[in-house]
Amino acid sequence: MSAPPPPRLLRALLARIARPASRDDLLRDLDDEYRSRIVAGETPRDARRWYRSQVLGSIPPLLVARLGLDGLRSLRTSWIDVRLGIRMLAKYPGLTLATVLSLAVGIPVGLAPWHAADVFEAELPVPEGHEIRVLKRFDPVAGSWDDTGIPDWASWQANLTSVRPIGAVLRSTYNLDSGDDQDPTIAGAILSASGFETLQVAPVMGRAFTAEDERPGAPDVVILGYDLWRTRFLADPEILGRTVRIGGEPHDVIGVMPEGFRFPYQDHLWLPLRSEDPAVDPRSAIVFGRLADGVGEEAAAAEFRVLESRSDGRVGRSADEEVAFVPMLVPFTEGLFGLRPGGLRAELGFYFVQAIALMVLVVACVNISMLLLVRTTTRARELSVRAALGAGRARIVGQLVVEAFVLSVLAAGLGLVVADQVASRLTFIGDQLPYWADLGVTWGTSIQALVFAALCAAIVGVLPALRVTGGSIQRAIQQASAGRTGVRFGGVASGLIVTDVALAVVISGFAIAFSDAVLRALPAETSGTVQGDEYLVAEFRVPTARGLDTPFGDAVANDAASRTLLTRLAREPGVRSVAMADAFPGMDRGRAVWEVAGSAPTEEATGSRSDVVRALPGFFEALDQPLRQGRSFREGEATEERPGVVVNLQFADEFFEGRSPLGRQIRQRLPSGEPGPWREIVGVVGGIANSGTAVRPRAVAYLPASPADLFRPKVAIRVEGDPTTFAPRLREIATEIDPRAIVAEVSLLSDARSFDLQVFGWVFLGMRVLVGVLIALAASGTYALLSFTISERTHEIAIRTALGAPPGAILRTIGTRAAAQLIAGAILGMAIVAAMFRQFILDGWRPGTSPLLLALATGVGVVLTIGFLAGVGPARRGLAIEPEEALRL
Amino acid sequence: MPRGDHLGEFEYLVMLALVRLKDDAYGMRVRQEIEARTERSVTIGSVYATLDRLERKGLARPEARIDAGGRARKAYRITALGAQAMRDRIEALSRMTEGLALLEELDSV
Repeated sequence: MSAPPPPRLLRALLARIARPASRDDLLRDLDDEYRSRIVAGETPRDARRWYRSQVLGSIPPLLVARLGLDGLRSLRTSWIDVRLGIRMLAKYPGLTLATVLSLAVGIPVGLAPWHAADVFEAELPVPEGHEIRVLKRFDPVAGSWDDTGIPDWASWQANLTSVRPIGAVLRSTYNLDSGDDQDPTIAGAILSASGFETLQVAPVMGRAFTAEDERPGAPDVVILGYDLWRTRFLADPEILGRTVRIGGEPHDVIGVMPEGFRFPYQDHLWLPLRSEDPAVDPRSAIVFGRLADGVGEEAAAAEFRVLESRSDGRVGRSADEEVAFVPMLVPFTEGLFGLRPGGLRAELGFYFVQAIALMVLVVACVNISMLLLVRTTTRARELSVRAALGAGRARIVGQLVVEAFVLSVLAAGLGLVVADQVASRLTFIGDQLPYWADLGVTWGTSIQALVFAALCAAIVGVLPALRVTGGSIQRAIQQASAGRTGVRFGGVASGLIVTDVALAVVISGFAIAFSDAVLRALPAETSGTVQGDEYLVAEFRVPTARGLDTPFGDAVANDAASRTLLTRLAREPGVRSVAMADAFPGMDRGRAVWEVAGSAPTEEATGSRSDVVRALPGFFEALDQPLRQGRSFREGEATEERPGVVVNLQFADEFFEGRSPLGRQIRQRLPSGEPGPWREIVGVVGGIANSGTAVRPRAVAYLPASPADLFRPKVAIRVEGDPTTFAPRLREIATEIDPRAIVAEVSLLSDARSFDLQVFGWVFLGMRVLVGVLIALAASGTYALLSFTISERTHEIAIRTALGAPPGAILRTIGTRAAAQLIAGAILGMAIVAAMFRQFILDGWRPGTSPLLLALATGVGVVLTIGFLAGVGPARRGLAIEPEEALRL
Repeated sequence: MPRGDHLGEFEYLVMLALVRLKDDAYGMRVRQEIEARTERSVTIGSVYATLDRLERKGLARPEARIDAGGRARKAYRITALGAQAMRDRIEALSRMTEGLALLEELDSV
């Protein structure tokens, strides 16, 4: 009988840790015994459990041996330190809590950017997924990728020998009628037969596509995803051969894919690729291939470049579009997201974000270091006794570092749990990620977190330990028996406090500037004067023939269906008004560059740009927005020779400096650089999209449109009562009009948020938490040190009080030094903030306030807060001590 | 005996296993032997870490062998220095227990 292989990950971990000299023997011994246990009748599960416990139990002794630590101290004493460290956790619960919480925040924040880059670099979960590449052309001038399409795929498939097989996939959305009330909209893809060969993933039931399925006129077939089969078809074992209706057309089910397979994104059904099908957009495919056996990356890329240089990169395009593209083979995830070559890690901004994130960790470490310094100092007596009994300095430092390590590991563990929880709540991002990208904590991240924890432990443990063990034993014992520690922090403590305050100022300043800049850059956050909670909004479109859905849909069918929908909706009881556009207030909108007739053509400066909304006539009326000047759109205006344009007040302000724009001519500069037709401004509307918040409104131009012009057409329906109750009826009507019709993203208008706004919502929340945590950390560290310094001086304070010194004078004596440290930190921090802004933020982000003012305000704010939180308590305590009591000490 | 050459408890157990197992003293056999006789769980990692340490201290040495399955393996054998260290330990123990009815003494605690 053949036993299942031992757990791979654990085995690999052990192989890394074991000493090279005995690694092979060790692994072979372990594997042999694992197999013989199974042969002897143990269940594979028990055997794996045994294997796991062997590996996990082997890690500490092997690590100790590997790092040569057993030469310094025997294994047993280091375990004593660990136990001592754990006991210390319980003995100082406040310190434990502060440390664990701050590292639990610091470690995940520090790891997050790197982790995100890992997610983007994850390989496809298919056999030998690392060999899969996306074939693309990069335009080095524009810094962007060129479209690839079916003609490219055909050409590459025919000519490339070092990359094969080569597949093509086009993503889409389908209406699947499964005979129940569930939302029929399903994300799916058209996947070539060669795509299945490339992925090397076979259906669990039935078969994959073949060339026969791609022949024009072949029967319509579909392969279902596992989840879809289970939920919609109740895991019907007789599913093969059953007919399902997709976009109203019957399709035979020929296969069910394995659980978890949702290639290429989050897709649940697959249709065969028929390149002759007029509905297949020839320029929007993802073309991917597998490096042929024995062919290296370099050789394959070279062949690809040669092939492309011969064809001039002109497959399926006209000659005038010719650009010097660089053909590239990129890892699948990078290719799918269209990241620039090299992925996230090739972006400078990535390192900037990573540096900021690490700064948070440094602040946490500095603070813990301060707390530990104080704790270590209060244990000076214990340590000096140990030293007197013969423990060397190295031994004591070692013990303190191990204690710090126990703390850090505990904190890192908690941090990972926190990170995992946060990641699992970022579902709105999760839906936008491909199926194999896991935001949750991985092994790699866990190991990194442990490394960070070890580093933190080294930083926070060594410094206090060296400081405290530095003095002579004799003096330490004398001081200790006199009730004092005798340790003067001097420069170290001052340095820590200054660093701490400076970092808190820098990060707070950054957070404030970032929020400020982003708020200014964002479009209006709410629907402003529009009563968003009275409208139901949804995407509506009719996919092209055979269910293939592009963002524009099937132009002819769309046009007819949309008009019918609007008419039918308007007749529905309870519906007060209906509008259709590509964006409603609060949603993502397009941008355009405008040229004003009679003025010199402007460069692409911010002044000549505006948001663009394409809308059907009746838009302003439905949203209850009467025009301030001029007229609204006429019926059929979109198809007139010179259609008008309606602008908002902000547009009038920015382009015409407040003069009436009515009758003025503007034209759009198209992305190709060509000018569009001249349009006359026929109306001015108020701030539809502008909220009552402090956000600056943006210029918007509204263009009359037909449904076929709209990118992801959206319908807004104003309903009496709760609009959400109208959603099922909307689907019903849509399906009656056209069974292929897709109704997606149904929500209240007030809840419709652009993706940017959702992301920034989280970023703001995160920043607020971060700033709060940092200030609390800085305050707690400073508090501990101040409090300790003052308690060390109680004797002196008492004598002064007894001699009649007024409290104010004493407070000044104590406070001067603390204040000096806080102010020094603030000045340092403010200087960094100001410099940082000049460098990074002024250019791109344009914060509203002057950087110097902002830096100053942040510095003063942070210091006042910290000073108040940290200074008041200890000072009051110092003054409250009765002179007699203090003299007795 | 120079400092550092004394045997820790686990080292002593491993040395005893080497003596018992003679030519069959491979890592996993040592692990199983100690586990079976002391009834405490022992990981393969701690056995190898200890064997490495004993080797560095010169108390045990590896020998290339061919095992029953015909594969090259590393078996361990104690050295003369290792034998001396064990003897020292046994003698120290026996001097400490000499003249004591040890188990009865312990029962009366």
